[in-house]
Amino acid sequence: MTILTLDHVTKSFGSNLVIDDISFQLEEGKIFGLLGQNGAGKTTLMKMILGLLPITKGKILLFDEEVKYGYSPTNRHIGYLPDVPSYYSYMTAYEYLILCGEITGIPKKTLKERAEKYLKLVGLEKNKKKIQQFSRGMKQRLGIAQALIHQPKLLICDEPTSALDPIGRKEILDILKSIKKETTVILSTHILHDAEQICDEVAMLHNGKFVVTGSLSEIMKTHSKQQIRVVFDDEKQAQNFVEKSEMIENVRIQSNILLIEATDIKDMQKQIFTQCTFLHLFPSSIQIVQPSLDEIFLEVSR
Amino acid sequence: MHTFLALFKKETMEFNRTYKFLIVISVFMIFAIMSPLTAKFMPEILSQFLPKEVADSFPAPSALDSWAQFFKNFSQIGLFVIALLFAGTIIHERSEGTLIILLTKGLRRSTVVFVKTIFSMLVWTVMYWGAFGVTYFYTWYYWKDEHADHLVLAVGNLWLFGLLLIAVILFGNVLFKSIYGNLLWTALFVGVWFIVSIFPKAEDFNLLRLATDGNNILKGVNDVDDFNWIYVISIGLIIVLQVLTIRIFNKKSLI
Amino acid sequence: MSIQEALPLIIPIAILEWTLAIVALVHVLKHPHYRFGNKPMWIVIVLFIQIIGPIVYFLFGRGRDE
Repeated sequence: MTILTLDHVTKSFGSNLVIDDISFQLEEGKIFGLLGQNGAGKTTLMKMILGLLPITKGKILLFDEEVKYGYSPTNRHIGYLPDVPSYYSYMTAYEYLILCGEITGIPKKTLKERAEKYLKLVGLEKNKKKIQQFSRGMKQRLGIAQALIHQPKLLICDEPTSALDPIGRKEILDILKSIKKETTVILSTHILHDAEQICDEVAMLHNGKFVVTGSLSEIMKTHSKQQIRVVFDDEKQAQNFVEKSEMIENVRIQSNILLIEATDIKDMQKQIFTQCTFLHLFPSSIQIVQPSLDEIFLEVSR
Repeated sequence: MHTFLALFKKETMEFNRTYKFLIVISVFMIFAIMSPLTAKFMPEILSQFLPKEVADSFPAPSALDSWAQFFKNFSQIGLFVIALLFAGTIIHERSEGTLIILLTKGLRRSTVVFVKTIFSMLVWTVMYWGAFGVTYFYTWYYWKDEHADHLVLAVGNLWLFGLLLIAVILFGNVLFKSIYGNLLWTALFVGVWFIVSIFPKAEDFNLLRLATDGNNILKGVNDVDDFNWIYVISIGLIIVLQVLTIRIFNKKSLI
Repeated sequence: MSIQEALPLIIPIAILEWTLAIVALVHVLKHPHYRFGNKPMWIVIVLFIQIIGPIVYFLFGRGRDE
């Protein structure tokens, strides 16, 4: 089922066009990565989905209900984790969750259980400290708990990992992965490595448009050529190989490593094998490498 | 209703944990006790500065002096403390961004304004009438045979002025980004009524009389009928300010 | 009026003032982060400026992180 529909959504701040006529649909049960450089408009788009910013043109639907600016009833389906969440620092995590739950109208009995459940999910169940003593990672984890307290259909996370160290990042990504069954997740990030790890589908926002959309594997296939990575014992061998192999047209040499591009990757692989035997050069490894999202991103934003 | 209660609970917790209850209780109680104390000690204090004959010529302190001190203390320091405590109640949340998460959870901005207004007014009401009770007790204790007429009217007027001032402060909270801006705005509001009070013709409409006429009421110079227009205007102003506060806050960007 | 006569007034005021001062002092000692100033300065202020000292500390001097 389609959970989110963007219908010719446009947003400009004065003469500055941030989102340029985007139409898009998101299916339930996915982790969707919204990628783009800082300032590309990811946060703007998310805030429009939440009704926190007015939409200049077009409309946003959550299921079949239109998002309204100011006070948006569609928010009952959405949990939101801002990039830098601010809490009432004099509360404990538990007290904050209770406040959030009461505002969404969860009955008292269920709320207590649920607050405990989500504190456990994010690993803060035994924490009795006031939020002002929390580390960034803890605040981010509490952010996920508060976003899930009303069991929303859609979780929107704005750069959930960017302020964290590698351990903190892994914790957040693991939590997001674990909730995927019940909740569709939209996360924005400029750390493409994170997106590669957990996203089922991504869109790259560049100059106000989705320049690339689709599942990661599709994007990998269509948007960047695969390469063959050949590792020789030393640089001399590598250069020797390149000089004597006419079929190689597009290659990068990094000391003893060759990165060979080709349109027909299987055929190229075969040719490299025969050529190696012919030249009596025995590389220590030959492998097909997938392009990283970073490379695709650089390519499309050029 | 559940959002109202949840937010009210949050305001109470915040007021308590940021030591604001402690401040308001101690200040209000100290000045409630200070009022009869200053009145009682006034002859002693005066005799320190004035020649004995002059000091002795003053009448002995009365219950009215105790209430005069009460009006002076609470129309000045009492209201100033209230202004200080609530001048940033929304400004602070906007600058910290603490409302964003709650608003995405379906909290209405109007509820935020409304709860904060009710909470501030309730703090003022409870603390002020509590202070009144304390001063009342001591005034009775030291001047047992004296009775002040129209006391509730006089004290009630200052209470209403406090409510009006809170509505002004809440309005300033959505107009300004800094607490100092809001305090300046509140001072300006009071200042304008000081200017109005220069003109005798405006007497019937001068809201400041709610705070300044306490002694006159006790002396029987004014009675409740003199304030009819003032009541209408102040209650009307409280409602208009509240509506404007909500309207403006609804349009403010919080991000 | 004699001091004895005024004791019912002076005692509660003293209690309130000292409660305020001591709560503030404990806070100053326990939380060494202030928005401005330093520990000795705040100790002097909350102890020696009655009423106003502790209020100024709680409203303006108290640091964010406890």
